[in-house]
Amino acid sequence: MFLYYFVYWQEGEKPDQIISSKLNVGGKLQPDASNGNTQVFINGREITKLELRVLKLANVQCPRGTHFWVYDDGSYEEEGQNIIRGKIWEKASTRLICSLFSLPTPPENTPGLREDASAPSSRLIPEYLEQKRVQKLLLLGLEGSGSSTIFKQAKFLYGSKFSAEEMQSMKLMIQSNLYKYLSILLEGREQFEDEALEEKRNRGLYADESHPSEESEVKEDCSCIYSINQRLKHFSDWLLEIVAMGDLDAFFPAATREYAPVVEEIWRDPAIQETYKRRNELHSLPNVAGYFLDKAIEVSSNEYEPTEKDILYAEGVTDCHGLVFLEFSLDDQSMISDPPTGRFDCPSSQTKYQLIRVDSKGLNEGCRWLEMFEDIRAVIFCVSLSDYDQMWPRDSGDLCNKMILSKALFENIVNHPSFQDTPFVLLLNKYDTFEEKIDKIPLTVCEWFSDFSPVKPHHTNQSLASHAYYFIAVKFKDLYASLCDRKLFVFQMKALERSTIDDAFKYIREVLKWDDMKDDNVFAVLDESFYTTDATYSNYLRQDL
Amino acid sequence: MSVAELKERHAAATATVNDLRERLKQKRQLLLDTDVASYALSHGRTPISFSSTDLVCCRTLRGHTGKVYSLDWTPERNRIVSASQDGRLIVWNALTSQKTHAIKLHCAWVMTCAFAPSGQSVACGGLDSACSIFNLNSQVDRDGNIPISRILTGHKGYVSSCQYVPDQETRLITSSGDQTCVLWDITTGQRISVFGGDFPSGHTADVLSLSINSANSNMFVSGSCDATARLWDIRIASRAVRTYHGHEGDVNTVKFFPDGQRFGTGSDDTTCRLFDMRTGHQLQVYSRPHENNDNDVPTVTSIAFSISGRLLFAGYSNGDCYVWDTLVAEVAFNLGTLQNSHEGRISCLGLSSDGSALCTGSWDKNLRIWAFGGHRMVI
Repeated sequence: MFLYYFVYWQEGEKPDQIISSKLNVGGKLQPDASNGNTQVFINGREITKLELRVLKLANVQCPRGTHFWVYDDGSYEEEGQNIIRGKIWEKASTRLICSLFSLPTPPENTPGLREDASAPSSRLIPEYLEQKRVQKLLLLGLEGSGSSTIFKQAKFLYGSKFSAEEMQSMKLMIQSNLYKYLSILLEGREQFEDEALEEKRNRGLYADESHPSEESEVKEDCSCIYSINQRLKHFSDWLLEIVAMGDLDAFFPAATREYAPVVEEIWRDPAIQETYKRRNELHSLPNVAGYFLDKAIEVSSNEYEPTEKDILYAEGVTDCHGLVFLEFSLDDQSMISDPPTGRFDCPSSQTKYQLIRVDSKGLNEGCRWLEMFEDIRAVIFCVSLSDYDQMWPRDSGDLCNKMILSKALFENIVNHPSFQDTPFVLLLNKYDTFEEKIDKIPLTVCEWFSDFSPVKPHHTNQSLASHAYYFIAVKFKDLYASLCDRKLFVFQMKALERSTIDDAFKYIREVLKWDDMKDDNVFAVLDESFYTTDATYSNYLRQDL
Repeated sequence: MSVAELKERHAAATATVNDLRERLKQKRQLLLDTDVASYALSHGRTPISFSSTDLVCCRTLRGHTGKVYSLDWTPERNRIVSASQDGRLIVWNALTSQKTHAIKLHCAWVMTCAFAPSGQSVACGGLDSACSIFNLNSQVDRDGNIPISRILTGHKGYVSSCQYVPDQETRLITSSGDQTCVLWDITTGQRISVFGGDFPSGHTADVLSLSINSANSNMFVSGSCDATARLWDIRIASRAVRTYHGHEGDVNTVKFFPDGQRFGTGSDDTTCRLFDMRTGHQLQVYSRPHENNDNDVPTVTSIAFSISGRLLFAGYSNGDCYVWDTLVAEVAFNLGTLQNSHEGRISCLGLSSDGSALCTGSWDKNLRIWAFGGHRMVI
């Protein structure tokens, strides 16, 4: 049955709330219900000048004499025409203006089960405006860039404690990672052993010619510093085989406790320690491997509970590979640029944030699901400064400089159509490791930075590290500016130090604030209305503002 | 054997495989002397006639506040479940347009949904790399939400598509961005079989879609970003039964033909193709008539066959919904030209079990139900 109410109102006043046009209350709306004089009708009621203004701002064609029919979700059509023209309150700016003029707007979510209009009170900010204030932030970066560390730090800082399931998940992840690290070491060991023996054989061949008497000795000696005993070799072969077959997670972490002593023994074995010394050549071995292998026995026990430090050092966030997200609220006033207010009766406003971290593994070119994030407020891209001399396998398997790979990923994300208007914040992480490294390994080993030629350090007050840092930041900024005509926001950090995370988030919130102010042409429209000479109109304004 | 020697042997083996592949491709070209359309036309078959009154939009399902990504019909009783970017699954009664359930998801980034054979449960999956099962009859919790009854974890990438095994309430197959498909046992939450992954005959890129053969539920086909479709036997997980080449872009959607002997695919290369399951031949290509601007040719996002197979419904990224005459490879009609059609990309479509209605879901946040109108028989 067709019913006519569009707005609940008090006679002679502007509308108070929108309720369903299907509600059976009181009969048909009177045309003069709002004392409107615009000759534009909605659901039979002549609307007021203010409402007409809003309609115009929402790009609704409403010449005099038009009769509209509006449905409860805000979609409208000309009466009797059965062609939905659009939705009046679709644009955020329209809804914002409505709320400022204290005009009602339809609720955004209609699950369809509760159709009671008994809830009064339209003076509160409508629901979607509240929703609009959930600022979604997308956090990503290559493996090892620190994105998962930043996520975990944010959870410690702003979120709720890790739940029992989350702790369990992290424990399992740490335990199975232990075997992953071990397998990388063992494979490296085999390779180094092969190379060393090969070299020995070659030397032996030359030795044959000049020292025939040593011939038999050299031929029998098939061991080197990388060799391990038979029993450990047996375990090594088994482990490497299951890794190659992709069955690692079938055995671990389930069998962790059983093999813990072997892990300890292998880790302490001189051959493995020798291999570990050459870990720069073991590209897939993360820096944290040593930290966990040192505590192998502790980690492998059933009663193991990861400490905060363990959690931060662990790779990844959960043993599932999906995205993770965290919701938290922060006071708006704790930002850098806000001056302290003297008014104690002003309630501090809070903004809700949702920090979403995605695994970089799925982010290849033409990534299909990134478009699901088109509503995020900012992309937080993490790069590890100390990656400039690291090699990393590409999807195709061949190795490439890790900083170059980060650069390629960055370009892919910036160019993605969903992020055309999204501000980017670049977090250059692991500054401490970078500082230590830069004096020994020149920045120019990375071909993108081949034009780095710093002024001799002792001529300036700046350290080489800070010089190099600014150089890298400028490189990224120039790259970003060449891809889109916006400014890249860069921030330096050491993700393992919690204070830098807090500072980073303050910075990110500043960036969002600047971005918000940029979109404020909505207020420019309102300014226009201040200058109107229409008396009725300015009455409303004075009443509400 | 040393690492270097292994690498050499690997390279040699790869070269042999590529060579064999090339020879197979050439042999296949020789055998393909005709396609379905040429054969049909040469035997005097005429295109089916279709006008704007033959398929009418009889319902518009409004309620989602985000793009609709996926939909599924119940096997009977005309209900639809749809998944949207707003993080909700909505169960609709297709006949009355009423929403019977609105399920708020923990992970809002959902990509797929499916109805169980009994119609009592729904499954969904997405960027959380897991497949969540909801029992529609469960008690709602304090916040009015239906609790998850089972969560299937184990994938190492996003879940792009899921489908229950026909007539089996406890078995479900998912396809994932980690290049594998998995058969799950819902009661235990364990993986029964993994198709692909580290085995050489699996997909080499994200798997985007799957379709289980209704005539023989031991077989299913999957489509992937590696531009191939692969046929799997559920009982043999170790290798794909057959790989179907031909597409030049990501295969977004696969659907078995009603008789279960063939299947259709839709791809980013803007074409749909019909493959013969047993011989592997590409029977027909359905490519859009030449467009004016070659820059932004719309891609195929989803397909469905009519109950006889004579019609192929294809949804495109620009909102077009072509009704292809599969026999003569011509477009019988474009639902996208109708006034009350979708205003955005068509992301999913599906035919009801009796074939009398087609439901399309779109990025314009709505679903539309199209029914064969007037005297038009359901074909």
